[in-house]
Amino acid sequence: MRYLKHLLSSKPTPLRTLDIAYITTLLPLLFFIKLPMLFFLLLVLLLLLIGKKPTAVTLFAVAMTGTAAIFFSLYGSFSFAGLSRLKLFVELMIYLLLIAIALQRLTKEVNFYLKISPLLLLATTLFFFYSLPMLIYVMAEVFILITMLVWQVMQSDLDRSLRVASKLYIASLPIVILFFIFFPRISFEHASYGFKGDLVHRSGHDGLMHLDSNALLVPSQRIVMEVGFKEKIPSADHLYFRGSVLYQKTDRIWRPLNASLHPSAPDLPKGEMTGYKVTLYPTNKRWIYLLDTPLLLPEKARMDFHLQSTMPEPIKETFLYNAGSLLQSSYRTPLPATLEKIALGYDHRSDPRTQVLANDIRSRFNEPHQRFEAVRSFFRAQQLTYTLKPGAFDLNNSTDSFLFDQKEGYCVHFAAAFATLSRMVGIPSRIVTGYRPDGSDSIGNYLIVRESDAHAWVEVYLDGEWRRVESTAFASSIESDTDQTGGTDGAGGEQTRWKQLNLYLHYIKYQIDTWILEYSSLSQKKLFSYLKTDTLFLIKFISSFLLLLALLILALYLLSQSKCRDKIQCTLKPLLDALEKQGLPRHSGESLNHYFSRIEQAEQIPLTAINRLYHQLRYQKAVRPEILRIFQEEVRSVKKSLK
Amino acid sequence: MLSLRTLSRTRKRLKQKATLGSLLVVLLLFGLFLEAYMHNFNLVYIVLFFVFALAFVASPFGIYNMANLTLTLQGSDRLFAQKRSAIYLALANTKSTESYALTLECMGQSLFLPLLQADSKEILTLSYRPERRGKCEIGNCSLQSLFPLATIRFLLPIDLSEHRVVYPRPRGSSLETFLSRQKGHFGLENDFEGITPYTGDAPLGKIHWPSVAKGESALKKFAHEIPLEQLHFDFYAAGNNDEARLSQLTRWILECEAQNLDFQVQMPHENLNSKRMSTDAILETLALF
Repeated sequence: MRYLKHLLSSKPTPLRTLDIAYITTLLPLLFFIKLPMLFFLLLVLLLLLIGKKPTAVTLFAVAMTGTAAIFFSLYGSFSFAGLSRLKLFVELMIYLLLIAIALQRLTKEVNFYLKISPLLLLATTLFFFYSLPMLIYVMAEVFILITMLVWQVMQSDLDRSLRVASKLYIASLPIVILFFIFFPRISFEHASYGFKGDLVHRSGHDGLMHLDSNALLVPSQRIVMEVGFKEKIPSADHLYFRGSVLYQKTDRIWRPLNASLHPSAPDLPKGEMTGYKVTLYPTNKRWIYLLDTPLLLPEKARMDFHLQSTMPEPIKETFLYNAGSLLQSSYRTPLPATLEKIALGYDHRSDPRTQVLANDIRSRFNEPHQRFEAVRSFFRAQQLTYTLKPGAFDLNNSTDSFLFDQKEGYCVHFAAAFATLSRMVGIPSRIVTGYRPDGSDSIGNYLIVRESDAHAWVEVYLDGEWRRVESTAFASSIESDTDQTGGTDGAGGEQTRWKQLNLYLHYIKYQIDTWILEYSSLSQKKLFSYLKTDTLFLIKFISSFLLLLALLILALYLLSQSKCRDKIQCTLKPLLDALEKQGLPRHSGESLNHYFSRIEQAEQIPLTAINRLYHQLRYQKAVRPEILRIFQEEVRSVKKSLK
Repeated sequence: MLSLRTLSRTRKRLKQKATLGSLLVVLLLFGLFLEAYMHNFNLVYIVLFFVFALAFVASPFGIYNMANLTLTLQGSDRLFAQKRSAIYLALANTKSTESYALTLECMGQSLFLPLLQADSKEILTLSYRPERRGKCEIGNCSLQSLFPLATIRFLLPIDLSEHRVVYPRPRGSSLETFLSRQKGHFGLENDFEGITPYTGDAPLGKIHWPSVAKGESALKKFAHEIPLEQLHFDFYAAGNNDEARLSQLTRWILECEAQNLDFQVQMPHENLNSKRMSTDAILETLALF
């Protein structure tokens, strides 16, 4: 605290302000530059701490060490041809810049080059980082750099410089906002620099469906994607984000078909499309998730015969796409004979009890419809329980185990058992895995999909169309360990205050991502079109800007109020103001003693005590601390009596 | 709060000059523009717009910083040619906010003032060395500031339009030497010039002890105690040329003033008498000769 006070009241020196600027601009680069370069910076820091002015030999040694650090940092990745890659080129530029700064800083001579270096570091940092934290950091970085500049120009204390810098910053904000919105953009794609590795994480959906301990159960609350709907969010029974479609069960795992079997998408009917924008976080897999039934896909994405949508390469960084879907639970398409055979396949050596049941249904009903109804009725009659912690299954006879012994499980077990029984009774069926949020993680048109929303459901082929069956809906009870209803998996349920706050934070982040980081010529055109066509939107837009402007002006006004630095004077000021308001101003050059005496004689206002205490506080060498308190009380009471 | 009227009024009085910082801003805008436009980096756009906006708002801030500032001449010491003297200027800030980083450029002198409080006045002392005697003008002063971002130099020209008289440089022999020569006495300058009857209230140091030994009461009489009619300075006898004469006369006059002696100066066309004129008026006559 004492150090902070000292810093706030201290005067600037060119090296001190520059050092603060360097620390600010170097900080993000420390996450990027390679280890040898970090060691070089550490060495320079040590030399600076030693504080001796370096000799020519020392400077030469530092330059050589820097060159070696560059060599080892870029070893393996460097070639002259590689310089055409902007990232490598900028990296090399940064390293050279750091060496130059180090050499100049060691000499302790401030020159023009040293002064502009923080700006160069800031500009190069922006090549490598592009995220919400960096946005916040850049805003702070700009503020710190202005403060340092203002501090240096003013040669005053840091406290005052901070106020001036704040005023400048606030005054510049409306211009920044207006320019950001209206400055004409061209639509190039973002260059892909920076780090991606740590963003790749395991998704709740991995394209397979395990029946063993690797089952599709990821109760993590990590966000898989954020969806912004153009209209209001569809009801929960339409929120099926389709991932992989599974046909074959081998080694206790349900798997998709070979992609080359049926590569082309079926002809889908036209209808009213629901549009939405998805921000998909890195999954390291090729699937992209679209609502059933997908119609409009992002560029480069392809959809196969089973309505699986994939990208050519695994998604290793945040992917934004626009998509459109028909909100329907079935679609008509012919079923090729080869596919029908696969969709009816099951392991004849396992699940004997289910096979007996299936034979019974087959013997009693001839029509697929009747058999389907019989399967549904059986599921309902079994009094199955939905739980995230089911007992141990016999993995060789998992359907038998689920339907007749354990009678409890979650989406994976429900879907696998339903699909198996359907196949056994002669209804082609398949399992679809993906995400099914219950819609509770939403604000307005914004919806969050988490790993815990990973889900599996069944599609059966009846009357020439694939129909969705929510197999978990057959659960007659839900155990308390699952806090989600409607047959979806994972945690959810009661919206606690913390969860709500978290949701709002995510919503803000999503909006910032959409409207700031990903703002493009397309968003600009969309905004302009809204402004031109939607009067209400125009009014809202202008009102919001005016409100912001008013807030900023208020902030400027508050910052312009001079800060009180003298406790005694500050205590007295309200009283002097009040007296002046009453038409009793202090004459120019009049001493306070004379003023108080004059007012007391003329107006009978008791000011003697205040006068005495003021002079005691002001001129007496050692004053007890309670005197100030008494003085404050006295001033307050006289001021009150004036009213 | 910032008033547009004040701003406009001050802007008309001010000169604004671009600094090296302005050039840096232009280069930075250009570089950031290329970086932003190449790949639609919105973060770079934000920095770009901040740089532009800050450079833009710096101007009204700088102008307002110079608003309601007045510089008045408060007075000065006696000014002598080729001699350093002090000039006192009052810099007043009559607005309700502080002014920062002001530099006063006046009479070839530069004075930096980091802070001028709101509604306050600061007395500034300038050291000035006029080259020649005569009338001198204290004008062509200016207040400058790089506040807030050093991208523009705000210059407020101030014409004080004040004239001061620079007296001749005091030079030549001392008053004692003049008196010694005039009276033709020998001996050192601090020797007494004769004896005078004892008045009864003289200090012991002035008693002429040889007279006391002879049974007489007498006091020593010194050069500076010589009556007025003996301090008569003649312009032509004071030196070889006009400047030397004026310098010599100035020195004697200043010494007479210091010793509280009355004197007369016989100029070519007039007689200057310290009983009728103030020392400054006499010196001014010499300065304007």
